[in-house]
Amino acid sequence: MSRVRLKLAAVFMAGVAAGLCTVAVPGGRDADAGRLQRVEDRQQIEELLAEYGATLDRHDFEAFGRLFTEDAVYGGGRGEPTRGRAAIQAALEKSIASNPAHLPAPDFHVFFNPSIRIEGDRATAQSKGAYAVPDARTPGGAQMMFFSVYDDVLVRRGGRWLFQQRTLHSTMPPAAQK
Amino acid sequence: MSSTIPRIRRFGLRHFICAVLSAAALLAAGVSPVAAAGPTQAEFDALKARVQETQDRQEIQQLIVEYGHLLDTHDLVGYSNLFAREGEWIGGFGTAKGPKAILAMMNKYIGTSPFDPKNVKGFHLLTNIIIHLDGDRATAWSRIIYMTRNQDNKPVPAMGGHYDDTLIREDGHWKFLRRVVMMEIPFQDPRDIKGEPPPPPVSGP
Repeated sequence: MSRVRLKLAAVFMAGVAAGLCTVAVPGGRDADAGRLQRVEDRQQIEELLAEYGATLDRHDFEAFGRLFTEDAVYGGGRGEPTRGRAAIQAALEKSIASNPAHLPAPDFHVFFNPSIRIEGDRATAQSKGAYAVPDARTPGGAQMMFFSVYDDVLVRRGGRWLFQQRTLHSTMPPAAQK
Repeated sequence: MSSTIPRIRRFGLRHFICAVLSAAALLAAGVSPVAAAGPTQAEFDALKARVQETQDRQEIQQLIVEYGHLLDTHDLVGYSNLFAREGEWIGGFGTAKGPKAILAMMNKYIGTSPFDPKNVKGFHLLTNIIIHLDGDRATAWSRIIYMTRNQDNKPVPAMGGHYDDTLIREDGHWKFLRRVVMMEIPFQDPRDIKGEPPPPPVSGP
């Protein structure tokens, strides 16, 4: 082994050792912090999905509006999507107050099956929901209707997850029964 | 050693020392920033608090789901142990305080017949859980739909509403300190039963 080779070998090994130290230790810490962040994000997004129903159910439309970004888009149904936080808040307030389906009170949202994919400060989610209403056919009974699929784009703004886009797709009952 | 020393002599001690020193310098350069960037006590405490909060949320979610599962499978002893020593249940059957009293109440109203998976009377659908943590206490709000079997042997919602919970960490486990079962369809406020004065409102949505 030549002197040059010996030197090169020493330098190479030192480099490997140094590389291992710099990559493995802080990289591991950042990775752990990132994993924790994603778990926290998932919990916060699950609560956001629940808050959507909770605020509407208690007719707290201001709190409902705060779940959306200023430039949010709310779509689904037949018409054009509604654009902007204030417009979405007003549209839902009007829709619930006017009760176009003539649902008997009380009524509320239930949600299931959240599937959430997080990429940094942005996430997409798909979940299902239904509306619980009294059942006119059985006194005191309840029924579930308007089973929907929610397609969401969520963003982190000021440390909070918000809806940037929410699209509803009705599944049951078919549109003719609505 | 006998073979190393002549080899060092052959390559020259100067070069060997040079190589060792350069390796040491590189190692030091690589390691020292890591040591300097190690978490401070404050950073470590903040991280620990976040992990704790995440676990707390998960355990409370689990508690809320266990509540339904243990009732559905007639494990009333397990069910009653979800309540704190001073834990209260306030619902359609009335009010009971402490696991013993809650067990007695559920035995009375639900019965002590063993669970028969082939003849299920009904089950809880528990969703929309919202939790507010406050150290060793928490409040939670969640939805309940109780499904039953109808005459046509199909699952139908029999009633629905929400739970207002106050939770406490007791002996390292989250327990119900107070659970108010609020049925909305059909409406029934358990606090109106027997003309008891309404309890203080549970914070949170």
